[in-house]
Amino acid sequence: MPQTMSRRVSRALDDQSLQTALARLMSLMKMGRQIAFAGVDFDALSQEIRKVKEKAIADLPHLAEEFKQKATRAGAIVYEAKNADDANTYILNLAQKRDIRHIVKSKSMLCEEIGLREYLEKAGIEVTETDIGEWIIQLAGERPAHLVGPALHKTIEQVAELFSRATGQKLEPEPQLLLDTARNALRQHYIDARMGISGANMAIAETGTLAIVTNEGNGCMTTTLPPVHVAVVGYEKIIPTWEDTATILRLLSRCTNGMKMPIYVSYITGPSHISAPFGKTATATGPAELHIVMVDNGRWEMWQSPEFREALYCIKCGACLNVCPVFNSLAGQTYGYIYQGGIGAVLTAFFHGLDKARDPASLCLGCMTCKEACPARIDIPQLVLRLKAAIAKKRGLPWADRLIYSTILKHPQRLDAAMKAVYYIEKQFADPDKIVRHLPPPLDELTNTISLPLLSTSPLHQQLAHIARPGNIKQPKVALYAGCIGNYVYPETCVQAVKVLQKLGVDVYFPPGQGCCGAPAYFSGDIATTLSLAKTNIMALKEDPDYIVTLCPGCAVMLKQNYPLITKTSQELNQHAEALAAKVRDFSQLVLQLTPVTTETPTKLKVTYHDPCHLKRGLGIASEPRQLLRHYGYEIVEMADADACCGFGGRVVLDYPRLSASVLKRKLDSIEASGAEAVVTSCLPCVLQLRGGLDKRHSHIKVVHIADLLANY
Amino acid sequence: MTQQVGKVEQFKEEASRAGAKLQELAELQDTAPFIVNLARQHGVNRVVISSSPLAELAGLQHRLEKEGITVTVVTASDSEATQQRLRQACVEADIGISEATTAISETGTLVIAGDDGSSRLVAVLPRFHITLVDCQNIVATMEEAIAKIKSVGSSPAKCVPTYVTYITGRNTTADIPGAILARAQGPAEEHILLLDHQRTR
Repeated sequence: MPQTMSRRVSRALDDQSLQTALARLMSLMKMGRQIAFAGVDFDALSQEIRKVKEKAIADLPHLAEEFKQKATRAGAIVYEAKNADDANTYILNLAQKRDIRHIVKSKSMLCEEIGLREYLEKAGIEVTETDIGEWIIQLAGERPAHLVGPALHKTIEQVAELFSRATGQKLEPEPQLLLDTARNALRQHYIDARMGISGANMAIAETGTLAIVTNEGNGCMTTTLPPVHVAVVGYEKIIPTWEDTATILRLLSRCTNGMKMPIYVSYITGPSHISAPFGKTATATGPAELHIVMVDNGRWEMWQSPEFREALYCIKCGACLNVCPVFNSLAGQTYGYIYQGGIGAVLTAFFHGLDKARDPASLCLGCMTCKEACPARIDIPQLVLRLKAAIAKKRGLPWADRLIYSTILKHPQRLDAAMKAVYYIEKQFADPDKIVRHLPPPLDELTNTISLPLLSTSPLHQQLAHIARPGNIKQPKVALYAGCIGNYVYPETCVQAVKVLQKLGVDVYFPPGQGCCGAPAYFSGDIATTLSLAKTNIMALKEDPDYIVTLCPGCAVMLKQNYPLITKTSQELNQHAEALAAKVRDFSQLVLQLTPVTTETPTKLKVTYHDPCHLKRGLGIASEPRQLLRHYGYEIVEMADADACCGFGGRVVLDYPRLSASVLKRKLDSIEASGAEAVVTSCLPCVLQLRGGLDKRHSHIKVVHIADLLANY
Repeated sequence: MTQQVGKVEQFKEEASRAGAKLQELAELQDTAPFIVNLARQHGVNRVVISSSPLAELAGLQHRLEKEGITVTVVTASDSEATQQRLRQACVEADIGISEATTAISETGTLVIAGDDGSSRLVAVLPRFHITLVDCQNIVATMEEAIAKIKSVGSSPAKCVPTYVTYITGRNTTADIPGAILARAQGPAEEHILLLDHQRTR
């Protein structure tokens, strides 16, 4: 387990002012998003952006050449920098040649990536960040905590102190006073500075134009008042036409901070028109010199990688971070690098090195919320999985993981034995109601978060040994795939599911020889073990059922989506995987399909429904379980954010139990606020997490898998 | 004609939602009194005007000066000394006046184009920014605005003006903890004066 990352995670979770500010920002942003996206066809608009980026990136070498030509013709000086050092050296040399001692800078992720400000400061140049949030962070000597609110973790008192120190006057912690102070101080900096440095949100090839988006107005001043303007631009920002900027602008700010449009968009084509002869500084009202530093720093390597090229579609809007449950618990400083969240891990791998991406990647829950929010429709969770595989391939797995996956998880019989051992250990600590509430150190981290269920004494495959084959009488034939949680933790729920299906007249059977779906190995990048388990399960399930039903959407996504992906190397295996995939059904989906739907008047329990990540975002199933609940007479009271992750995903629950607990806390708060008597869900791991969490709270709210509910109908 | 009315209405709605203050003026001649009023109301006196056809048509410089307001008209100039003076005027001005090249109704956005950086300084530095918009110039979409921008052109080396600035509403900031405050680093108030030429005639 990554030690230093664990410490950073704890630090963020323990920082009360950060947590309060994050919660406040999160609810503000949520409201903002609801307003900004009202009446917006996100699907259609994001499809447009996807098309623009696909085209732009496919044609990037040509477009880069065109941009360079057009910008040069417009009077800009274009420099192509191989890496961070190359870019930094060029800019420092330029400043020194012009005898520039004072620089203003607007917010740019790329500048952070290459460490430009620190580099210039080390050379004795005064560099002032002009975004107010960035300025606060600069004065504090820290890194931005959040894309939208770089200084959101700072209290008003801390800001007052920082500004007092910077301006030499004693300032009270009054927001308006502090803002006026910042504005006036920064004004003077724009006027005094001889160079302005900016990034660019887009670079338009057809005219060699830069487009810079800001909300405070600092971008306009940084790029206009000083006589030299340097724009630092990543190649992936190049798009073919001006019209493409319209496509991107329609979603950019909506995604970033819930605004329909940014306040300011500055399009700059070449240096100020009315200028002194080239080489001479400072005469026009705009800069006489415009330098555009195009930065590679791993981008062309990414472009050449078929697995990761998609990451270049990122428009750096931050939508994925705004919705990420992990980011909303930790904020940005925890990740350790400039780019955060899932996409950040991938970018970090290329810009800073593969090894540096391991820790950030380990924070991913795999909940897929980011994928839904991305305006360029990047499959971020899939990129993270590929990244984990690449890291595991190059560096190997931690020995404990390797041992567990390849010697135990891979072999169903050994897993059986191991689970038996776990049962005996657990039993010593279990309460009479078969719940483990306290484990001794170092395992206490797990039981601090949730109460754990005692494993079953008899795994499902033993309980269902009598229906190992289909009966050949009734149709359709349905094979039950249990998964580990179904097999060892909640076999009784699976038995109930069998009863429900039998009552509906189907021929349910439990094919022997099935193993773990491989998700734990897959989430750790262990493709060999995953592939081996895929083969095991394909063999076990190929008895030719009409459907394969699961109670665990995580398993379903493995069987349905990931097996076909990872078996691509063997045509025969892949055919089997595809055939299997086509038959996989979620339990609620299959039951609804077999049930003649009527809507009864609610007579029973008031329930709330929790959408499992892999069911809703993985398989697109959200209405089916609700329809079933209504059909059986339950009244559904929707909780806030019913589809927010419960915190069980990925390996987070094992590697960072406290982080998992923080994500779980928000979920449990919503459940309790809903006023429901029970929370129903359609995923066994979610049941484990929610039940364990509510038990810790001594809540009276029951957690029920939909199979249990329907069996007792 | 009715189509244009629809665009104007949508522009008004979107721009005011984004925090701009809109005023429809029946006559071009009403522009100067509006500005004088604003200046008096806030006790300010220094105005910079980005030279533009509408500003000239309205005789703004003359009419404002007549009311005792200090006016600097920012125009392209080759002289280094003049440029410095204009830049300083922008820094010190209380009110900046621009004309929109076009305005976009789908987003409530003003589009201000110019080859000299002054067009942007006038728009961002002063405490009040007033933009004159000819209603006939309002277009429905960003794409239509881009077509206009491209048709404006620039020097032979550039197909578009050096600076094109989109302004949508009023700038705000949430960077100071505990409050969302108006006026980050741009103007405190973003005024839009809509001039309906057709009707005026």
